[in-house]
Amino acid sequence: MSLLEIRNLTLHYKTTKGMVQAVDKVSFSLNRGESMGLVGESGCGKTSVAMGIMKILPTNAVIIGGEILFKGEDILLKDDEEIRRIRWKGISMVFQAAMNALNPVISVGDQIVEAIQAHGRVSEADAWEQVRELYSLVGLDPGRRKSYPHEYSGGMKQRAIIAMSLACSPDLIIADEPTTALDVIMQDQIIQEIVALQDRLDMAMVYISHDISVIAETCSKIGVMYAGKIVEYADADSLFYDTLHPYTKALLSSYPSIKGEIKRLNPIPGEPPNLLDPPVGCRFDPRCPEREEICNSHEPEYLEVKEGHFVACHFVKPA
Amino acid sequence: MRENDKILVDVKGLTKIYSLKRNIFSRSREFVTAVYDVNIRIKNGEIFGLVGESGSGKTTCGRILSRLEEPTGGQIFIKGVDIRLLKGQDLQGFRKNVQMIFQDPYESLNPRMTVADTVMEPLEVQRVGDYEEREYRVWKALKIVELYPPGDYLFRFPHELSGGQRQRVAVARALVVEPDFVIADEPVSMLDASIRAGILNLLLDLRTRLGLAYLFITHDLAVARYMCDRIGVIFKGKLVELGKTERLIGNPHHPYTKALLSAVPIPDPRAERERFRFEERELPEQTFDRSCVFLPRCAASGRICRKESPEMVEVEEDHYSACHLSTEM
Repeated sequence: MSLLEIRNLTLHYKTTKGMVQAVDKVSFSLNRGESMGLVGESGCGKTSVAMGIMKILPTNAVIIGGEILFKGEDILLKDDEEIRRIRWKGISMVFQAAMNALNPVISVGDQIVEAIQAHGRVSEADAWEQVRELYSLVGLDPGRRKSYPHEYSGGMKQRAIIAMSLACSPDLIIADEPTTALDVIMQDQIIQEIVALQDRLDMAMVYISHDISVIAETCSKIGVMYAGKIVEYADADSLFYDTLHPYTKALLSSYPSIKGEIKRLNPIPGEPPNLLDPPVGCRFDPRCPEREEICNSHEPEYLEVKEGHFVACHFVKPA
Repeated sequence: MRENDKILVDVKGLTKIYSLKRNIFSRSREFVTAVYDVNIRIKNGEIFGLVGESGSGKTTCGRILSRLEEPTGGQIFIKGVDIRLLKGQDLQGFRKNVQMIFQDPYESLNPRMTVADTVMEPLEVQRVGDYEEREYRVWKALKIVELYPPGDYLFRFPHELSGGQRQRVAVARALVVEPDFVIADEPVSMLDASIRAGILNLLLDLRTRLGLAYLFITHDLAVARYMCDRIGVIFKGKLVELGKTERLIGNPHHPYTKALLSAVPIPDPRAERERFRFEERELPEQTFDRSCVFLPRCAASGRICRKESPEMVEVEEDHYSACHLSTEM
């Protein structure tokens, strides 16, 4: 049994202008200890998927269909109390802006102790001992555990947040753009830390980013999202070296790199569709260089075209 | 001297010190040195990249070069004229020659002005031509930034445009007065990859077509490599390395450049990257005249680094590094 299995998740947001079809029939599964990257541009629905898994969706979100099975049980059917027990212990999350969510008038250590004590009967002394361990685990000086958030740099705060997310030894950690607000050197150190911890603690991880180079370095499997759908899913190597979906191809050729020859970048013409009224056929059709007539009237099926390699495109079919 | 080799911008010893008042009653003042002794020359038609992390002073440099801020010390010559001395008419002329493109097209465009008004405003301020001439120029500028056909965009407001289109409007507004020099401060960092590539290509093409020179300010070395002829790396207000893009990225000399380069993620799961050690320590008060600015973070510092601040030294042709040790190695 997979640790996490999402089946046909469809999620809309109710707005004054109508229903925004933010996530459409998203499916993927994740085993224990696996790391998966979800990559896509802003508004593609990657964060909505993450919030769905944690069941922390905003009030205007409507689940249209699908299941999110964590250890075989559907998260969407659980009540608040049951969810509270899963959060932190089962699934925990590191957000992009999480470092700004630390309470400024309580010491960082106290905030972690609070999280630990809320999820198990642990004495205050034992909880502090755990904080000490967590600090050295994420590369923070344990002597700083009673400092306040303003005494930490951005990178240190993000490390503290990671320590907090690990406090109850979760089976699954969801990292949503955990390094986006940081400078490149700090980003690199945090990424190394996350990858090492994930491996060492044998956690499963869903890593969400708009930056395909960060995903390339952190995850063994990658799902590419476009306009609310996963358009391609494969292991990292196949996704980069045996790219099948036209959007993934276009995305890869729009990134400059620090290595290799300098090739002219290929921008993708146009803009992502308005999800209030997404295209009837393939959602990438209006911008696709390989489109044909069928694409604007028929939605392509999401199929396993090679072992472990899923693609939703009319022109990529199983062998 | 060929036209292309002429120095367009010459920055000498640029320094900017901000004073912070603790509160209105306190007498003692604290100072923050944002930029210290920066020397840069930009040739006609050249794209010069200024790369650094947040707080490194790269934006301050751009703001001073466009005279949005006054430097504390140093001289800036653009086309041979010291811009600090400009007044009245000459300042007006300067503002026509030097234009800026900012990071956030959501904030840099007036939400109540149509595209036509936004792009025409600089022409009105500069009193360029009559109305017909201005209309023609606006039309041409929109065409140049590939908002085509211009008629479709003229009467739209910023909220009716996507992020990429807004940034194109900002570029059109900068170009409409036909400047020689454009300061682009993180012009693509708010945009998604697929849109970003289009703006970068546009800026490159405009350089070729119009012979523009850019000061391209960015934190992203991969973008800098794609865009720039030469790159200057700035750390805590001080230029630590400067050289031709391929040399600087292929063969960096300064330990900070090495650390920065080795931290850039590579969009290739097969890529192996060697990481250059970087000490993560908090930076004490800056002491520019006494020790090396990079000392607190440097993994390879020697005794001399504590005593003297290193000067920029030519380590190979047209490649400068400010490190006591990189010249010895």
